[in-house]
Amino acid sequence: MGARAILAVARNNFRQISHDKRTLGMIVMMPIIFILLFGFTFAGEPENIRTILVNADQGAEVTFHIDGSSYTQTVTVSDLFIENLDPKTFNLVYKDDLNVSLNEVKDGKAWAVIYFPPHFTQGILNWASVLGNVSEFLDADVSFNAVPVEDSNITLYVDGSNTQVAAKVIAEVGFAFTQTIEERSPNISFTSFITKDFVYGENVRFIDFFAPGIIGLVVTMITVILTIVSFVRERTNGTLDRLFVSPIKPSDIVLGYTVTFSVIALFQSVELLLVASLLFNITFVGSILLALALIVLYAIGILGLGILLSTLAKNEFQAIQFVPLVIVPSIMLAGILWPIESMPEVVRPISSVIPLTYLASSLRSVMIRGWGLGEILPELTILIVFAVILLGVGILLVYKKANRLGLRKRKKE
Amino acid sequence: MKQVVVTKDLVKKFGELRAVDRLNLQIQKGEIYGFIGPNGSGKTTTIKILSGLLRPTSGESYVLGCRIPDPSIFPRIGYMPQEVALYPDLTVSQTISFFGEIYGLGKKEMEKREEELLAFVDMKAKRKEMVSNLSGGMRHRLSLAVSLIHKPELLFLDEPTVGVDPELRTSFWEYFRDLTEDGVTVLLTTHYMDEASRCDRVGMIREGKLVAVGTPDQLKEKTNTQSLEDAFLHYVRRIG
Ligand SMILES: Nc1ncnc2c1ncn2[C@@H]1O[C@H](COP(=O)(O)OP(=O)(O)OP(=O)(O)O)[C@@H](O)[C@H]1O
Ligand SMILES: [Mg+2]
Repeated sequence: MGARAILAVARNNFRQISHDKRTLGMIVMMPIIFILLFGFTFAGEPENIRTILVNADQGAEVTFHIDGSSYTQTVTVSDLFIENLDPKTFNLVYKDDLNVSLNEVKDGKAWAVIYFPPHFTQGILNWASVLGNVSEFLDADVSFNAVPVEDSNITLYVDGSNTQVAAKVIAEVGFAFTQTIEERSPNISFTSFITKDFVYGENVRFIDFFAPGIIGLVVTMITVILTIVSFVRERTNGTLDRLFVSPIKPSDIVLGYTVTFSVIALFQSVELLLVASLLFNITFVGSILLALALIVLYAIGILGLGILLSTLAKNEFQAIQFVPLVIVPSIMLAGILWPIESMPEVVRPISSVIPLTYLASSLRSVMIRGWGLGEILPELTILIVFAVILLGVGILLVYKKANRLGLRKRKKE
Repeated sequence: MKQVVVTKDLVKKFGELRAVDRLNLQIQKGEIYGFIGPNGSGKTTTIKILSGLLRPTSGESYVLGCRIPDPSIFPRIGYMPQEVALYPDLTVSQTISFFGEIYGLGKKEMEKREEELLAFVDMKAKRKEMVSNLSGGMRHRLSLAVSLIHKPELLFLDEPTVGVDPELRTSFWEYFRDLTEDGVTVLLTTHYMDEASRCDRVGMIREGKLVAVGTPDQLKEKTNTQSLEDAFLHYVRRIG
């Protein structure tokens, strides 16, 4: 029998699915829903953050020398900094009273207060004069009296309850600060101390980071749900018994299912990649064939897991309860949304036994870093081991259900 | 006469319950053997053991000359489960062709077989109907057709005529008779006494034990009753 029986089982699966509009709908729609959901939720960085700006800067006295004559004037440099605050990130509101502003943050009406103290300009120019180029800083021929002052720092009051918003505010204020200094004094460059050179993924965004994980998640969901439900249904229907007393080998039944779910996983991955490319323009620099091969390998392992779970359930209702048991750890611990490195030591061993961990990381390497077979070999090997073990266990369990375990051994006696 | 099914002290326990209790069966080639007994007496369990779906707790059984369990008998036996074991999301025609493929039928052969079987169960008009939309009796007919697809030489039919209308029931029996003339052996279970009396031999089973075997006439004679129904009641009550 072999190939013919395997294909018969696969064809049978497809025929059933094609008549089951709801399942068909789920297979087609799930990738789209997932990528839209995750894409729109996580694609952007925080924007339009309501922030109160309190500028108490009193300026500093500076003497200008123009054409031999001199005059003294008060200058404020805080405005230069404010101009450099990213207008997309901040929704700036100007207020005079610091306490009133702080209360707004406490009441949750604003995320942060940026406070320029009275001696801000004095402080900055003091610093510039230490470096000996106040003239350069103000772009004019000036003399300036450095008078030591206290409390000349910008103070940032941030509501840290939303870590992403807080991190963004802090990063953007710092960025505006260094940018202003650098603009004003070309000899000083903070960035010159650190040279940034992206080894991979110069323009990679968060969505590029998690898209591979989402593919894995969708494949996990569909494969686990469909395998568990179809196997439990075959068993409770009695159709599995019918197959067990036919010439088809139990392994051919499982392999038939493997063909079905590999095709479905391929379809969904391509669909997901297309939608993600069109809508979010995700990064994909590696080999698509290698990516698809990884996905199929993963789907095979998950199918085995599904069969294993289906044998633990008496009916479809019980079976479906296993789905969150597989999905939730995969979402949380496989490094889809958060890097494994950010997880506490205790859960890392769990991460390392979740197959999705290896799919997500290898798929990411292929998509973003453009890695080839050689570079992802360690993960590929682990995925192969997972697939072989899980599928092997699945096949073994079906042989057991068919009462055909140990048959050959007994015959030899 | 050649014995197609032989069991020796077959026992199947589910926990403490002896569903089959030291059962000794001999079924001859070409006969229709009717297995009758009250609900829960072990008919289905016996059939499942004989077809290889269940392992007995103890005892031996031989089917078509092979010691059971043995996968090599699968192409030669047909099994119709008691519950309707079909895929609800297939059409009638797809159901037949799937099982045809599983049994390795060629395309031509399959088409021919589909025609024959659909004619036999009188379902030609339902060819494109979804199994989930069929009536209960129709599903039963299709289920029988499926177990005949590969022309098996031994048939295990677990209540093949449940829910089937009287007219078709008669034609089923004519068909079974035709099959035995070609040397096919039929082991079936039934709760209908009129059907039991059409069997070549009847085995009465109660609490997993075979309490009487014989032709319908022999059984009536032995119990001194007029109908097989009375004979049945006689055995079922006497032991209890
Ligand atoms: N898988 C099982 N686990 C436990 N007990 C079982 C199992 N299968 C059957 N039994 C029990 O074994 C006994 C025999 O069941 P079986 O299905 O063989 O009866 P039957 O003669 O086919 O009855 P019916 O006429 O109702 O079909 C019953 O008491 C049943 O409850
Ligand atoms: Mg029964």
